[in-house]
Amino acid sequence: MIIFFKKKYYIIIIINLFILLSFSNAFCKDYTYININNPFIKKIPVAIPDFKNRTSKEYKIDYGEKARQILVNGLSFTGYIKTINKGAYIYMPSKTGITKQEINFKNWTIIGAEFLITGVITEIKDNIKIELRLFDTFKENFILGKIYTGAKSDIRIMVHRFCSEISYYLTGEKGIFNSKLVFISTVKKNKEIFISDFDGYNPKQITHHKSITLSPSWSSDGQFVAYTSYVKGNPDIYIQNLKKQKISRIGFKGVNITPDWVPNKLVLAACLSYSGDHEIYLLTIKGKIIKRITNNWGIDISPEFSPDGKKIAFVSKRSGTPQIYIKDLDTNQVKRITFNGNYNTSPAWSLDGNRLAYIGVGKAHNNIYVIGTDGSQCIQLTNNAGNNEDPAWSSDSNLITFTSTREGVSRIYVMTASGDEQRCLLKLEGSQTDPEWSLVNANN
Amino acid sequence: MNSLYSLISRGFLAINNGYKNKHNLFLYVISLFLHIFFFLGLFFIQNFNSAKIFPQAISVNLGSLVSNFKEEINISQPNSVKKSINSPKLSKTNKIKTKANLQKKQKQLKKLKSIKKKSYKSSNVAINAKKKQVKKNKTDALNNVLARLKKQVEKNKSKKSSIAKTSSNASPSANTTYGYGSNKTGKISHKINLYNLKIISQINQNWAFNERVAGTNKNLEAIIGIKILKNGQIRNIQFEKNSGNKYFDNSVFKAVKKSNPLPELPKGYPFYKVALRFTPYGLK
Repeated sequence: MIIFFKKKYYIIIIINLFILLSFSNAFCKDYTYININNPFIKKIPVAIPDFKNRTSKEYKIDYGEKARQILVNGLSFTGYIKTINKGAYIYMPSKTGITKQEINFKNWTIIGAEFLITGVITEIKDNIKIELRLFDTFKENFILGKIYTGAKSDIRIMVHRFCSEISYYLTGEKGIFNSKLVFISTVKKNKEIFISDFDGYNPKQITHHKSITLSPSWSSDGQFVAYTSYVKGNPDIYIQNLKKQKISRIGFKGVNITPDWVPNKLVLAACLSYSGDHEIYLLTIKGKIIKRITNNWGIDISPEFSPDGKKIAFVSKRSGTPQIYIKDLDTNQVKRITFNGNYNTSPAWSLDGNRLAYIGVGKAHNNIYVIGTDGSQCIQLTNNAGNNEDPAWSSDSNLITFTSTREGVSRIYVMTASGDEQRCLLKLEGSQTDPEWSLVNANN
Repeated sequence: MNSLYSLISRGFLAINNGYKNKHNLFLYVISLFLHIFFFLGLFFIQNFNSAKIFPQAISVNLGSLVSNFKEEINISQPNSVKKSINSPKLSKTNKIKTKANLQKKQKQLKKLKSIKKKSYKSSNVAINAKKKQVKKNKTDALNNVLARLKKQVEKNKSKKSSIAKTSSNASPSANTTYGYGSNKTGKISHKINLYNLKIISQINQNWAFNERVAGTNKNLEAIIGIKILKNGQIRNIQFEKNSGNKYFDNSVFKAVKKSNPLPELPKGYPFYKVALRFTPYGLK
């Protein structure tokens, strides 16, 4: 009998459950569906309050503020993070606490911050210790934290490592923080090659040819830069080993211009004219011709390999006007990509492999366009701002660097891949052209 | 379920054994009642929802605002007035009466005409006068009947609405449970449409989404169900559907959280349940 009663209770419970379920069904029914499809904010809002300085105030330079500035500037190079202005913060963790237990996340969600980064600086004589923490303000989570110790002069490297960590957390890619920028700048009316950090900081001159130098190109490992120079009167290709300071020359008869490295190989493509016609050839690092890539009566110039190395984009005059073509190196099929405008040149392949940036030469100004590698979705990124040329992608395909004459002298600019936030990268004496970011070295 | 079967079988056994175990039979009857209650519950409980003033599914499109409003108002006009005209029996009898009256009058007319044709061929003037009189009579009678009908209809209507108000939950199937006239529901749906637009703009403004971070997948869709209280506070944030993209789901969840509190609900709403369907197709 006892068992029997128990069963009865079971049944009552089951029936009650069914009734509850039918109730819940009834409530589900009266949802009103609303479509929301237009996010106003295109970047992730992040709050970075003042860093806490654990050291006494004898030190004159506030490394806390310095590190914070480096972090804010660094994150702006992701193209998808925006630091909320400090004036909006209603709370200063630098005065109280910076760990999860000490933070009231409502103070940050209320100003719209989706992430919070806190920092602590400890100065130990010439060295510096930086603790950085990333929090998700809505989930009230501690995401990642790092402690960096090093010389005070390495503060940029340390903070940029943390930027890489954030980028890796959000996108699975390390970002451009380890990459270098190569560009041409005029020095005493000569054009020489410079290398700087990814953000234009710390530029260094690496060539002293006292001549015209053009179109530098990074090798995938970041050890070699190939470029064209007129040192010996004729445009020849030079390959410079940055570590060993060695320079080798490739000088066939006629022009030797626009070198581009094959991804992950020490092989490069370039335009040579020794046969009487401008054609693209594949060359070893020592200047031996491996094979001829294009074979057409029109001028073929400016080779640019796809990131997987299986295709090559180039400019050709075979249809009468200079246009951009893509050749599949396996099937040898050639496809014309650009059809708008009479003069399109200087293709740059995005590192995700989906898009090409190029220059559209117009009647009044030259502008930068982006087009899908199938020839679809052509977008003009610059407009009414002088001549804009020499586009090159960042290694995460989020940014494009280019040169512009919008302020008179040609300078290097950066914008996002959708053309937003165009800003000048660096201001040096003379004019700057031909910027290109190196690929991130996997070992770094 | 096994226990349920065993209970039923025990009940049958009890019957077969000639009501030996009265206790078992008693339990069997209870279970029967519970079953009936359960199935009735399945049928009717869904209609007990008194807060169902607003229409069930609104898809608000920013592009075609005006046309949507018109549609809503048209849809929300209940056809209770039409029904009440058709339903009362009194009006039917009246109609029959009027028909009968009309037929009589027509017969009289025909008679008159035949008489006229036979006897008063020459005096056309007199005939015309008579015709006019007949017409007048006819229209008067019609008008009277119409007026009477209208009065009765109004009476019925007032009776019906009073019934509806008193027993609003009793009749589950009828539209009259709402107890609102056509204009009122129209206004309410208009109000809630405006409110929906407010929600859309507020959440859009708080929604931070970057396509690069999400990856290149463009077919992202997430649905979040929320309950909005009278003062605009958001409660019960639940994912009805995940997009599968972690970043997208997070961004959407944060957008809802940031939008708390939403504007106050229009008057007459104790709460409001909304399913927000997020799709970032406006991006490039």
